[in-house]
Amino acid sequence: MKRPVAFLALAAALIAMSGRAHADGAQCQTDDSAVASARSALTAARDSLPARFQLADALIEAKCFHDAVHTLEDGLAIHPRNSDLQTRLRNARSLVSEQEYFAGKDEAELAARVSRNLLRCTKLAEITSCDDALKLKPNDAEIHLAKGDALMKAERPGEAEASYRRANEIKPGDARIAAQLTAARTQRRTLIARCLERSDDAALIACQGALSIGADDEFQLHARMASLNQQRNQSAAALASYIAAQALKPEDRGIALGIVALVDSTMRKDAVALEALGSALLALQRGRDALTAFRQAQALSPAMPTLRARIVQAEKLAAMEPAVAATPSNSLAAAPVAAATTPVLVARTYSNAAEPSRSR
Amino acid sequence: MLFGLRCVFASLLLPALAHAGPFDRIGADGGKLLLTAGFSDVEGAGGGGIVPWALITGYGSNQSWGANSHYSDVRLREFDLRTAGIAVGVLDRLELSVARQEFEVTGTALAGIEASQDIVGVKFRLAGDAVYGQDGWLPQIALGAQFKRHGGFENGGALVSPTQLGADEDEGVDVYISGTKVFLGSNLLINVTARYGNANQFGLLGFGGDEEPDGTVNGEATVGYLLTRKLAVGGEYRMKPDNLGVDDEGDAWDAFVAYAPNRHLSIVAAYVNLGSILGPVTGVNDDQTGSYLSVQFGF
Repeated sequence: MKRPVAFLALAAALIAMSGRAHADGAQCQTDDSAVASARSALTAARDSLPARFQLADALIEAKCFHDAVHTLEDGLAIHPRNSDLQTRLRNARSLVSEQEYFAGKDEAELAARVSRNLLRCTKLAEITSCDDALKLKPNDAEIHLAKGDALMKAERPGEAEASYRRANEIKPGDARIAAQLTAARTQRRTLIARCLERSDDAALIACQGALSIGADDEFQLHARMASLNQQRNQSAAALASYIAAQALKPEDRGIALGIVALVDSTMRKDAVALEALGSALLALQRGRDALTAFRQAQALSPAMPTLRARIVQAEKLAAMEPAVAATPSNSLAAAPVAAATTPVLVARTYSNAAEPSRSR
Repeated sequence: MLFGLRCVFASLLLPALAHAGPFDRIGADGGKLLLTAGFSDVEGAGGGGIVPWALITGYGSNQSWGANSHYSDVRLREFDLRTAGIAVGVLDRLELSVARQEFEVTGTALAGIEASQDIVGVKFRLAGDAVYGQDGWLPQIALGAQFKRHGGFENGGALVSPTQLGADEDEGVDVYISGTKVFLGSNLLINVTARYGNANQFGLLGFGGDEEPDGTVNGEATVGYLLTRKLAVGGEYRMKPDNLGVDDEGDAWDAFVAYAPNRHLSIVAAYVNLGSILGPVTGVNDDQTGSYLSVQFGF
């Protein structure tokens, strides 16, 4: 007894679906030429069953199952007792329901993944799970809120504030989000004070926790972290912080001096470091040496996005610099890229010539 | 360490105090010959322009005390160094000095950046007398120390500390021993100083660095000639360490003229060369040369 009822329900659902597709009247978007020619043939001979079957087959081939059902239903109105037509219609409808089943399955899977990631994000404070959930649902205020909470647990109120801010944008007026945003801001202010006023390891941790991408004080915090890392002889970390700060304020002379000092001492020669060195030398009005560094970076990584504009700037500046007399000591500045390791070393060569005893 | 230093101070000062009368200890007797009290150098110590001497500052004799204050301005091609300070000499045995240096970049892309440094100096005369020991070969010998603390940078954007330039510390100590002899018969003053320290550009760029973190011993010397009772000329040479990768620090020297119309006023003018300063980053690798002018009041 149950089986006929289920069949009836399924049939009703299929009829309803087909009716919906029919009512929509929307045609499947396909550039298939076979569909186009079959459609033309049917338009020319509306009563022709072979033409109708040809169009239905072409539509099924192009995965336009709804359109195929529609085409066959229209044929059924003209040839109500044609068994071949009925069979084809049944097959087409089953393809439609199969397609919708899989679409539903994808949605269910997506929901399950979001739910799993959200659970790990909220219960285990796993920030990567929060990020995974946000990849699937980027505009979900609850996930942003949960990520903010996870970041607060990790003592990273800077990033937490950004998450809460985003949640607040999506869902303005939510009291819980507003309260968390205030808490994050308060904790961040405390960390900023610790970062700027102290110089121990706690200061460095505080700077890292307070760092918020896009905040007004992002540059200040990067610069401070660079300075603190330098004091600890963490040259690589210091250089990374200087480069991050330089991206925000390329003209800052303090950052430029820090980068020149660290690229020299760390002997980094990758494209990122050389581009940073070039920008630093540009800030120090050293057009020719900047150009050398940029060209070295370009040789290593030709696709770096800002490099071309920087090279133009450096060329302009170099053109304004007084001509350098071609002596053995300073001709390296204009020499091919491969001749010099870094512009700092090029510059040092000048004074070594003046003081041969100091040559390294 | 501190207790040991106190013991040394006491053992050196007590014999001198025993000889001094009660009034001499309060009033300054101005007991030295004109131009034999030395001047205050750029770091505040009694000496020449850039080299400390073994002489104890001020005109006070070994039964009294003296003092000297100074304001000096060293104007170089791309830099300006101003120093003000005061030094007190006690019983011609102990010298205490404080000085503040202000350093400003006036040229290159770094123009406008300023740095400051506070220096507290102490100097003991260990043996000899530069002026009155004419019958022996022994010069006046003094041991000194200069405690320096960098005050940070201003107008440098993110640059606030010399450690950002690669320096190890923003404070340090220079220890030096000087031997000074005045040959009255030939109107000649000769001074030799050996200094142990790791100050970069006198400490204005911090202490130690990525190329040499530790202290080194460097020599300094002065030769002065008294043209008249009130006028002296001379030259100084000071070796400097080269610790920083961003600075090819070179040696410094000067040629000076000193005029002292009386025991209270002296003026020192010099042509000075402080060597290259921050050449690898400014692109100006030539030596920084310029004028030195110092006005000093003392008794």
